[in-house]
Amino acid sequence: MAIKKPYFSLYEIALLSLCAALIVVLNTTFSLPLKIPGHTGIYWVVPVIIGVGIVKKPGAGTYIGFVSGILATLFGLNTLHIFNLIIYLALGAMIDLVGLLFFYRLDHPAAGFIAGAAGNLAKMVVNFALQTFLGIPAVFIVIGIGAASISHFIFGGIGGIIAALVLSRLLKSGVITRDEA
Amino acid sequence: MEFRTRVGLAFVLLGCFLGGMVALGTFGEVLFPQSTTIPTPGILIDQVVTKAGFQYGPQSWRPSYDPLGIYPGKDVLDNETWYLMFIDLNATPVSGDPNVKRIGSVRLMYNFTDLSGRAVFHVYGLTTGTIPTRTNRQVGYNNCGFIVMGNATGGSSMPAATPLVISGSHQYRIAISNNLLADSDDLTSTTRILWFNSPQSGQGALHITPSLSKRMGAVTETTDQNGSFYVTATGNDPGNDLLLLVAVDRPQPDGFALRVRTEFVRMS
Repeated sequence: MAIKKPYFSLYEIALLSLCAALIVVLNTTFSLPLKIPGHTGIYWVVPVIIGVGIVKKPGAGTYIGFVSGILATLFGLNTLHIFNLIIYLALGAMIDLVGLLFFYRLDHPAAGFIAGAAGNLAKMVVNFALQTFLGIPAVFIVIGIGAASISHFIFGGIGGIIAALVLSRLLKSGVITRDEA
Repeated sequence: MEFRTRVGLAFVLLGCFLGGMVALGTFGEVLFPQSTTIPTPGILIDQVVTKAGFQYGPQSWRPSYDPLGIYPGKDVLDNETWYLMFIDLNATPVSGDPNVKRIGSVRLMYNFTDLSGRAVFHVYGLTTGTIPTRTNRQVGYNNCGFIVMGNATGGSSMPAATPLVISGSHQYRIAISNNLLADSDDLTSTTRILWFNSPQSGQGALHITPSLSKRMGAVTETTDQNGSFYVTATGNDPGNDLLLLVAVDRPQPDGFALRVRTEFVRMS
């Protein structure tokens, strides 16, 4: 009887799970005193893009988002508790989508920027949607949403470029290849 | 489709999205008008204070990381002499966790008796941990405050007032005047801590507004000796209690009294 090959190999699962754990570690250890909405995107998107860029399979980002969402909920990283899962899932799924759009060439700085910015913006939109769902009046959400969007875009994009540069170095040094993980 | 074309297309899409968000932020208050507000039953405080409540002054500034001016919209003017009183309002515009609990505003009703000259209201949001104390913005975009003009004859002195000393650590232990009842000379006030961690810190979260249609606050000047205004919160944690600063620009007559009442107004 033929054994069905799993979608993600053990190596990929381990790598994606480590990336997910890294998100939680970065969120816990780094505390930048910037006071600007979305500034955490500068390091938050990096492990997701690296994970998606290495594994190069649809669902890799969503998997990272799922695992990091569960970890963030367990560690109580912010006030949304179980709803963290949805925020992290949105971030991962968006980077998955962008990776698919760019044929997983996330080592390119432009593609990295777009992936990071789109992921960080997806996180923001879901966060605001959840807060509206939880009873925060819409007028509170829309005050300053323009500035918040721009800062999420910029910080997510910078994080994406950092991830692209890391991926590029990994490719050049031969740690990973373009064709297979 | 080529890689470069996809990059261009993605930037166009993100640009459109950002444009939409900026437009939403600009016209948001029109698109999502203020819903009805419901006062929560029960007055949070009902205090009457006399001129003995002015425990600080004469001075030209109010506490922040760097001293702030007192008249809304003005920097510190060295030639001005203000007398300051702090009242714990036992209220906050947010009830509990801002992400999951009700958000509203604090309505403050005031009644002056024998007010001489100008009285200015400011608020401070008392926080915990490493979060700096909040206050309404003094100058610049979205600065706000509330001024009441009185025409009573001024007094000769403010015997209870001594100037605050500018703190190098940017922390102030402030005596509150809540316990100073109208017919009492009891000066056993408790204190509150104000702490600021950087210039301009804590000036974007709390606002003073005459109307809830202007949630980001406004500067209001009135001669109405009996009136009200709202303390609203946007953005970061506004703190778990509010401290009201009342500043007057001259010694008050012996008959001076200020009645302050607060109530929480929630949004439906």
